[in-house]
Amino acid sequence: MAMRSQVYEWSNIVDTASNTSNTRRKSGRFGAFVGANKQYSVFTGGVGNNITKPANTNATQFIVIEDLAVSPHLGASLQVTINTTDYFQTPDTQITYTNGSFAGISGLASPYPRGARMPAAETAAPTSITDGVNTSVNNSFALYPSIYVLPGQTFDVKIALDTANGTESAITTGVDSTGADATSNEHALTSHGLVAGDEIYISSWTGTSAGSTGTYNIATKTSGEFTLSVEQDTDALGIANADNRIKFHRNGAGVACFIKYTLYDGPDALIANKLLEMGVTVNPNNVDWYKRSLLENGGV
Amino acid sequence: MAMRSQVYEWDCAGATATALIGTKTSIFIGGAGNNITKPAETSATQFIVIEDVGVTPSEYLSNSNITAYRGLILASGNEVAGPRAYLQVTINTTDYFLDPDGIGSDGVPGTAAPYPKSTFFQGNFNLYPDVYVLPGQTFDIGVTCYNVSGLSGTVAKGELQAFVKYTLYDGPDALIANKLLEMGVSVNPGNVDWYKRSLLSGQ
Repeated sequence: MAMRSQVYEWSNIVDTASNTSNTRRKSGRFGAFVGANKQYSVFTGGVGNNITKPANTNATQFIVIEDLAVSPHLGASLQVTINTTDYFQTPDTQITYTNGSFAGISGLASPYPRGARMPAAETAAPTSITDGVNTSVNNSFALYPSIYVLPGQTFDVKIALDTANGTESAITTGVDSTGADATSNEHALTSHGLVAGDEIYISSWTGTSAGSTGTYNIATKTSGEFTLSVEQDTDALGIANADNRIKFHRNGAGVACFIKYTLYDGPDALIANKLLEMGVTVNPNNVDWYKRSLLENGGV
Repeated sequence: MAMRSQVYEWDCAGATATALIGTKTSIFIGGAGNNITKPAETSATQFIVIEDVGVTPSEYLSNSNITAYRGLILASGNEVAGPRAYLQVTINTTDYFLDPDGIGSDGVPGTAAPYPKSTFFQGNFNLYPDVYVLPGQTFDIGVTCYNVSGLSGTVAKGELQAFVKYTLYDGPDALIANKLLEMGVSVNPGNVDWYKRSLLSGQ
């Protein structure tokens, strides 16, 4: 097994609403918050499923990254970093555009899954069954030539969104269900972006008759206030008073990416290095060809 | 019939969904869905090349109140439609697919290697180089799911399926397959035929 086809899938899905990442994959349904215009390592970035250490090759390994794909919504893109060098650059050799978004392979060019539905707007997450349901995004991009990770190098794959996915931990005051002075209550602010049906995780709650931490839904959202449903677990919701303060975050949509690479190990990694020196593309066929040519020449 | 194209399709119908979550279930002898009588293995005169695998896909999206998405179950409030299934190949006791830190992973996601393939799930993955099962080895295909609400409580037909395409080389062709492996030549029907022709033309 000296040449092996390998895959890695990352998603922001975590096991509980209060978590932002899991080591390895766990069952769960919560899409962790992913900020806008910020890169997250899909291996060790602290969001979604991660591994225990940065990805690297040892002295007897050679990796060829052959395909990259990412969800087509929320303006997602992928960047590959070898040691400290970013692979995809803008024509002016930067890794960001002037609006702050990151260069890389976008999910519209290389969708995951291939055939994912087209978001209504380039940066929007599909929100209903009628939202582009009969469309599918096909790939406009193939990673050719492939990306080589030489022996002893570290590599990383980073995801960036140009639209925030969810709401990061926020504090609001005066949550109540009986009406309050909208001008003095932060919960009335539209900047929270909450609408009826949204699910929020309340991580702390203070004040008179404070409720417990947990996951709640926004039951109603009028111009002046929102109310909360009963907590989703079996605890009863303590009705919030005007002096209540809550700290909460809202999880976002599911976002995922996929990496396909071939790992050459041992003698095949040496051959891969030799092919690289010769200027020959490193792929399983050419490694086999080099081995055959060695055998035909009586072995070396 | 010394080289035979073979397939194995698994349907998990009738299994209890909660028993599948986070646990690798053998599609051959895992006790869920259609099974066979003993672990898959090659005899001393057989050589198997696994050429394609697939498992029910999933899709990552935003939560909503819809209950079905492109043939997959989408529970209210969920960000994943479908079972979130992965497929791992194990040769003897060694997992084929590893995470980049060297730890055995769950394997190929159904989202990348969907079964069945459709306009909406075309697949991002092809199994190349192939996986070889040498004479005398056992092999297994395991499926792991992570989204219990992407399945019915008792899994219905078509909700969780897997597919394996392999070529079985038997008798003299298995010997040739071994020879090709020693030579560093990919084992496929074309190369086996090429080796036979070269033997004949050398006589």
